[in-house]
Amino acid sequence: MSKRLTITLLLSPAILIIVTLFIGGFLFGLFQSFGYMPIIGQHDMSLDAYRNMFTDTKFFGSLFLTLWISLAATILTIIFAIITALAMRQTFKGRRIINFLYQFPITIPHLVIAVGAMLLFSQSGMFARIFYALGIISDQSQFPILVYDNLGIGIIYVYLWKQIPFMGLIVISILQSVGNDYEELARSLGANRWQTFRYVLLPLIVPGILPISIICFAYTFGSFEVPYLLGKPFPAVLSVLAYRLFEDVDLNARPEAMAMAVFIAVFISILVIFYKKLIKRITGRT
Amino acid sequence: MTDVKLRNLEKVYDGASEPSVKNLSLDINAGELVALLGPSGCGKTTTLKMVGGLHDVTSGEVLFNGVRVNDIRPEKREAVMVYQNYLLFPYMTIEDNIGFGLKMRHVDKKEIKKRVGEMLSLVRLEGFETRKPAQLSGGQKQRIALARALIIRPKILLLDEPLSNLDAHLRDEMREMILKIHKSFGVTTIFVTHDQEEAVLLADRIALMFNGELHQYGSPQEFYEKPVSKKVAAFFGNENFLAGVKTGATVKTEIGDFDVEKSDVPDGKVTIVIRPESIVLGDTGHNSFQAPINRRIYMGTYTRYDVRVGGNAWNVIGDPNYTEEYDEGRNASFSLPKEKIWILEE
Ligand SMILES: Nc1ncnc2c1ncn2[C@@H]1O[C@H](COP(=O)(O)OP(=O)(O)OP(=O)(O)O)[C@@H](O)[C@H]1O
Ligand SMILES: [Mg+2]
Repeated sequence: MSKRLTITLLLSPAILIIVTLFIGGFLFGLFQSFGYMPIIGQHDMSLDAYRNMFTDTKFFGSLFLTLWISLAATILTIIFAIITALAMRQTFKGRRIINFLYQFPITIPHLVIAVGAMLLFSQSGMFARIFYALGIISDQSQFPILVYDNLGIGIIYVYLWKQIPFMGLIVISILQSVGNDYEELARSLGANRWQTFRYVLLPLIVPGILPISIICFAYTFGSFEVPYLLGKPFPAVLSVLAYRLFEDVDLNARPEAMAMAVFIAVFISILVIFYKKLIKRITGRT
Repeated sequence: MTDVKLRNLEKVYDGASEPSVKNLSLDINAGELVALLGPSGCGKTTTLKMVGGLHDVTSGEVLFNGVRVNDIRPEKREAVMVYQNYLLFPYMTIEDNIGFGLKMRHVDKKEIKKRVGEMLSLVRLEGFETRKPAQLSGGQKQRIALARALIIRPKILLLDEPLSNLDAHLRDEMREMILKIHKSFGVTTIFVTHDQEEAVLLADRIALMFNGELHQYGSPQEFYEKPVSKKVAAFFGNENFLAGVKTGATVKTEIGDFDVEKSDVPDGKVTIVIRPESIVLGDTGHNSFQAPINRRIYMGTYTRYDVRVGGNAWNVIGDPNYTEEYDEGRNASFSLPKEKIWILEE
């Protein structure tokens, strides 16, 4: 048996599951988005759902919110990952403990962090109560709106909590492989600390984290549970909006829900293709 | 023109139990080219980085023109490093690489362009402006690295084994270029190497380090003719040692007495050292002795004999045209010219 065949056979159960669940599910959704729902006697296919979607102001509100949250979470993740990685590179007392705490969030599911954030930061949450009890605020509603807020701060916060250590680890490993020599050389050529960071470290780090930033962005764009728990009812991010339409008692809303899901899937696929291209360019060069 | 003085320099790295550099004092004249020589791990790079301000000094002082620079940040020292592995910034063009130091000093763009051009012609790589480092050979990369260092007109040039990654003929070429540039710029240069031949070919003076400590500092000739210890002599390829007892101008050894020149070495136990090429083969006159030839190796321009002298294995270098009397296994006579004998205190 050829090696390739063996591998294919060994992987076949996994492939089967992926194909049925993923491709199958996608096709099912795609057909429904075209209005094909034999259960309620709908056999005609049309682009009505898409037309509705692209003329719906609710959709664009959700799209912008989703883009904002994804972009903000990704950019802040990059910034804080670089800052924390640079800090973790220093030798200091208690470094091991800090390092452990730093990486700890990676092991915790998003959902748990989201629930935790809700319990801690909402206006009826623990911090609001403590502040109220301490007399710092005279009413719990004075506590700043950190979850269920307009800008999705609570949602972004949860993504940061999870993504910063993850990307930070990548930055740390990049820094390790780069070593100190480039920085030292730049210093001896006359660059101060800031210039060394700006003209030497940053250009060495960024190509390495760009692909993973795209993945971060794509993940945040499509993910559901955190905004579902911590977001305002309106406007909601795309995935939540799609879910609401899907849940709607009116089955006529189903195609539009599916159209949104397809939109998200296509958008993410484009990002993934972009990611692949980028990876190829980066690895192809070295 | 800048002179460099190191005063009792010491470096203990964080978490290290032993210092990497111990009590190092060294005076380097303005415009001099000094080779920092020694085996791997002896602290050469560490010393260089302390001069450049890239590593902190644990104790002691670094002085430029008599001014203490210990607390001056590296970017203000104008002591530029060039590394063994070039370290060209991979994402920059050659032009940007060379102009880096000037850009950091906010020099006008036009001026940078002009000086980059000058530097490129200095290292004979005209027209390379828009290339990327990945498109260059090792030798070309090192020339760019040198240009990048020189463009800021540094006070001190710190070269850390710049020739080690190059193959033999490129190394010769690059060495000549470094010498030429050093002559025309007159920049005080410290050149790190573990290769004594390279040090001899390049340096005005050599500082030989073992294990974090300076063992000898002087001209290349001094290392051949007047090594301060057996270890130094051996590092320079000479292990022709013979133990003896010195009384006045005579050293008594197991193979006979040798007349030596007057020296500061006190009477008592000493070691005689003599270069392989200073020994006269076939001479039965003054200061001569008989010894068996173990091996004879024809080297083209000379012949090397491995000779057993007392309990020691010696090398003797003789004429390439040997005769039968110096065949392997034979006893031959050798003499040690009095003025060529170097005496070490035990
Ligand atoms: N950053 C560092 N942290 C801890 N120890 C170090 C560090 N750099 C060097 N050392 C140690 O200091 C000693 C001297 O190192 P150094 O790099 O100066 O040697 P070197 O003479 O340049 O050797 P080589 O010829 O191999 O480059 C070595 O024992 C090395 O392990
Ligand atoms: Mg070194």
